[in-house]
Amino acid sequence: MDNQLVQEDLFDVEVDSIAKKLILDIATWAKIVSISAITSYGLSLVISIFRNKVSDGGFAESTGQATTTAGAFVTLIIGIILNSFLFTFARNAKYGVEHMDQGSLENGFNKLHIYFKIVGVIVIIFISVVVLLLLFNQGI
Amino acid sequence: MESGNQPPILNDLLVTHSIGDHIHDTTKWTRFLAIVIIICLSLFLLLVIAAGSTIVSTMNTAYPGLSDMGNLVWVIVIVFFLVFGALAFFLLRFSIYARRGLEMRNQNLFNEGLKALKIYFIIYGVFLILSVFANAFSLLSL
Repeated sequence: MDNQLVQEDLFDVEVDSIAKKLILDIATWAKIVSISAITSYGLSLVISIFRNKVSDGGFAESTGQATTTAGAFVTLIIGIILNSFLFTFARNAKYGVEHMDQGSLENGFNKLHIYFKIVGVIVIIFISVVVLLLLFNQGI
Repeated sequence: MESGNQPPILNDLLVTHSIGDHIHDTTKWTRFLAIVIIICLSLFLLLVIAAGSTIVSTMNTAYPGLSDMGNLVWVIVIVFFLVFGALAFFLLRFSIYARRGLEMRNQNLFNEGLKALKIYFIIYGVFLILSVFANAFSLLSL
């Protein structure tokens, strides 16, 4: 009975040796992606802060630079939250495969799902804002 | 790290319904993202075809130094197309193959999906590493 329940809970797809190697490679590159993305966002923020300090222009230029810095800061915060899911996926998936831990692997794929879901929602918000701006500009 | 949650009769890793559901949901979002990238690239391509020469001449007037760079702008545009095109292609490939692999219980299709996801992350990773170097170079030149 127990065996039957377990079997019903499974797809006929397994994590074979090829899939294990692929998941390990995906985890390695996902880790590189998450670290590189956060580093890149951090550097962008530092660059915008430096430009803000170097700038000796008028009010309009200072306001523009401040907006850029604020944008870079918001991007860094969102980037850290977003990429923490990707990093957790990488860590859990690697642990799951290396230690044959079904729970870690499951948790890892859940984090990957959340990562792409957040990216999708951000894209939907971005597209909505662009469409609204276009409509607003046409209205004026 | 999570404690072991192995099904009692199994000694190897398997795609449980829970993992399958997570991968299935992931493929929905990756398909959406791939389609958005393809639509954006198509719109950008139409813009380049329709108003490419006008944009280049306007940019040459605004930034006179740009005309000295010759075809560099076009090379950057082509590289941009190739990178984002490849990202969209492999995301779409992952969503199609991983989903079919799970639905048809086909190990080879499932592995093909994972392979596409791996290539997606490699391309994205290399692109991000280059962007880190570009940002670092930009910071040093300030």
